[in-house]
Amino acid sequence: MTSPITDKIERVITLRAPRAKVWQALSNATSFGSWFGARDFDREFAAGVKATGKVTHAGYEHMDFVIDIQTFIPERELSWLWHPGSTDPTYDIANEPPTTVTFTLADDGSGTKVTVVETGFDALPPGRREQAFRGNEGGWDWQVGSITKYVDGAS
Amino acid sequence: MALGDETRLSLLARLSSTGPLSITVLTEGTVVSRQAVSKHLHVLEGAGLVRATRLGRERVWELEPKRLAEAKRYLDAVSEQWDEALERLRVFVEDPE
Repeated sequence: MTSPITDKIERVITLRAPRAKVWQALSNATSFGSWFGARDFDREFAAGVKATGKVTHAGYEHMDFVIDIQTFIPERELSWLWHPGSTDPTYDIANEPPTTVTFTLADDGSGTKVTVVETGFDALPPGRREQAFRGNEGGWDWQVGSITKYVDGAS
Repeated sequence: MALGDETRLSLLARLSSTGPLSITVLTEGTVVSRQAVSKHLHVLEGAGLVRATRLGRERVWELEPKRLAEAKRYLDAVSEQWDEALERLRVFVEDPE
């Protein structure tokens, strides 16, 4: 569980797949997009690259998906800056401070331990959180629907 | 990083268990100076998490409970979103049993 009040979210998962395969799923723009929910990136991922794609989830296809890649260390670390929960096209978030997402990979037996940390939530202006949450209420639903579809499609 | 600090977390914890307190009382029971406590309170105020009000002749600090609840709800929702994304990553990289 997440700590209730903090600037930071941390999630850890162990995957039954070698580090090279997990890195490929993270670092290749097309692979990343297929599980994350984005497509048509204009750039391949690399350090210092700002990659822009389109959101693939039904009802949100008009939206750009933008990540500003900071670190790109093969099979070890991928981090980017982005604006979380920006599903409202009428709300300009470009001038708000971004949050930072960092994926870290480590061996765990024959599998891979993946740690995701997102920080910077407290830098968001007061009131933004509530707005983000309301703006995203449909967003949480499409994520759940998307997993179901993915799992069904894979079986 | 309004909450990413031990002192700020303990100030919030005290305010949530006791209600409004003056800076003098808040400084008692900490290892930091009154000036440091004041600085931390102003950071929390900037994040909309606490506010200063007058109680008689004294200035007291209290929580903004609505804002704290919002912050918690938002982070819970974001965490859930990450859990879901990581499960999709699992489906993507793991071979079927």
